[in-house]
Amino acid sequence: MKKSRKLKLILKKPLFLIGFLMMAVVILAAIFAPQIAPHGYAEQNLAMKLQAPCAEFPLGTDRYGRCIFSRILYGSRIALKVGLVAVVIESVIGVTLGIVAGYYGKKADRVIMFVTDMIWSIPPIILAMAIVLLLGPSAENVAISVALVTWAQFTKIVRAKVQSMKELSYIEAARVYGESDLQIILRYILPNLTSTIVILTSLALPSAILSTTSMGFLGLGAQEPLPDWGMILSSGIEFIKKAPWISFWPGLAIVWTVLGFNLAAEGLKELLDPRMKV
Amino acid sequence: MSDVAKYILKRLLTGVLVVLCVTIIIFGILQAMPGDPIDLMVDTRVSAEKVAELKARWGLDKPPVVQYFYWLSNICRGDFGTSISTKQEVLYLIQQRLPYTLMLTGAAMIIEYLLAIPLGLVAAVRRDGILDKFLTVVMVVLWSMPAFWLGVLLIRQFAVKNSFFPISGYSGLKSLVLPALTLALPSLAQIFRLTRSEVLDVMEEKHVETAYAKGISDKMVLVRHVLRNALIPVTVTFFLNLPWLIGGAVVVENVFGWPGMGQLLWKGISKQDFPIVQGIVFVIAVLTVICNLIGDIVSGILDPRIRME
Repeated sequence: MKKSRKLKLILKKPLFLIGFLMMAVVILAAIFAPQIAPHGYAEQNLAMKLQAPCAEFPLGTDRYGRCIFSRILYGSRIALKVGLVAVVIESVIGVTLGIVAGYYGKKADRVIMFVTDMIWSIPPIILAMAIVLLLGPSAENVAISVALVTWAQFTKIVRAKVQSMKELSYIEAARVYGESDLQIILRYILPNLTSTIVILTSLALPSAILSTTSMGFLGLGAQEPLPDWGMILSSGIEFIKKAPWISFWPGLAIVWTVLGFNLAAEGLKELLDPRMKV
Repeated sequence: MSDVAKYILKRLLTGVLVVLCVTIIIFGILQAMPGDPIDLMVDTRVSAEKVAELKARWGLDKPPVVQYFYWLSNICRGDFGTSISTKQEVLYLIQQRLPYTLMLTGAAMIIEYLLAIPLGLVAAVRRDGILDKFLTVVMVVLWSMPAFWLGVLLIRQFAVKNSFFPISGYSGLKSLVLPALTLALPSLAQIFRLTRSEVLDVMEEKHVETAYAKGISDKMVLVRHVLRNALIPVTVTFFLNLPWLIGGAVVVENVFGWPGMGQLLWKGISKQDFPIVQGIVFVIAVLTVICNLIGDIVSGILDPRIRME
């Protein structure tokens, strides 16, 4: 009964539905890239370089005659993987620290909040650039660096939630019963954070994808010949007069993906907790 | 007034502490980097003695802790060292670049707020109307757009197809238009959403109802009672947003060949030019801390509830 009402709510908001569909397209493209792509992502064809879109190369070719369409298809795997890994790491760090800060308070809280403040004193992309340089440019390291500079957004909200939860009578009761802090956190606090964590994670995913493609654009992500969307785009800038398609299509792929995930995340939030402020 | 002073002092001390810790982080990251700039700079044919001499000249042979304090005390005197790749003073390089970055971010900021506040207000007043829905969709699309792609589209449309604006570099105010738009538009959504939701919140408050009941015209109520209160959090974000824009500027400057700090930082990173990277990240961190501080103080003054925390 309640479920069907929620389903109706979703169907009433066409934007959410569009978001889910867009998301589905990206995920299917990533799964079936080898079946759909007319060429391999690293397959060079120097006789066909800087080809305009045609039947054989639906979105044209780059300076090595590689098929942009195939590269974008395979690139969706990198974009999704890097975004997902980043979000998983950042939510684990952020939620753990948020619970510790909110539950224990006092010194732990002050230290964690200070670290959060500090992280926020360097613009995230700049700090992430420095970290990638330390670890070396690669898709994995981009995921790690983006996670390391963005976990604080989880900490702040989770901390506030836990603080208000701590005062509730059933948590008091559990404490009086002699349950340990860890038991209380795992049994009563974490389950009540589920919807918050789901919402935060789903909202963090599109922005993680956006940040990781920015890093790719700066050449810090997956290296050639791997088809990183940001890198394909930046490699096309010097051919913007002759071959604008090199930069245009990967950018559209990024917008499509990020927009789809954003709309879907908004829909999820509307379903789970419409009043939550992020 | 004394609790305001106390609040400001507390924030100021935290700010200084944060800057200090940031310097340690910057220094730590660069220390931990695998490549040694001297090894990158010199040929393999150069003798080991010569390399050691060069390292000694740049202070790279001392233990990291010593290097850190050496570096910190120099920075306090405004000496950021000398660039390893260009042999120029880092301070001089930054001084040359900083105005361009500030010009770019400043212009982007003005565009952002001049567009976002009126649009947010209109969307809130016409809540759930066609315009509101349309604007909400436009904002989500802008929010999902990577700045570098927007930049490429703008270059293609307004610099390549018809040369209204230069493709890249700085040549007068005209060349500022495209980069500033590129930087401003993707972050427009945040201010728009904040303005809209704040206006909606304030409109439900009792004093607004009272104002309407007194027979004040809709326009006057909106400007005097609603906007005035709704703009408090929006003003605060003005300062908190600046660092994000500077971060975004790194990407945008590289798209447009804009001669700002972002480009310098990027060159410094790709050449592993330690002093340049350290200097720029330090300057940006200080700017960020100052902006956060101003944001905190302004919100503390505007909203007494905050300074009680």
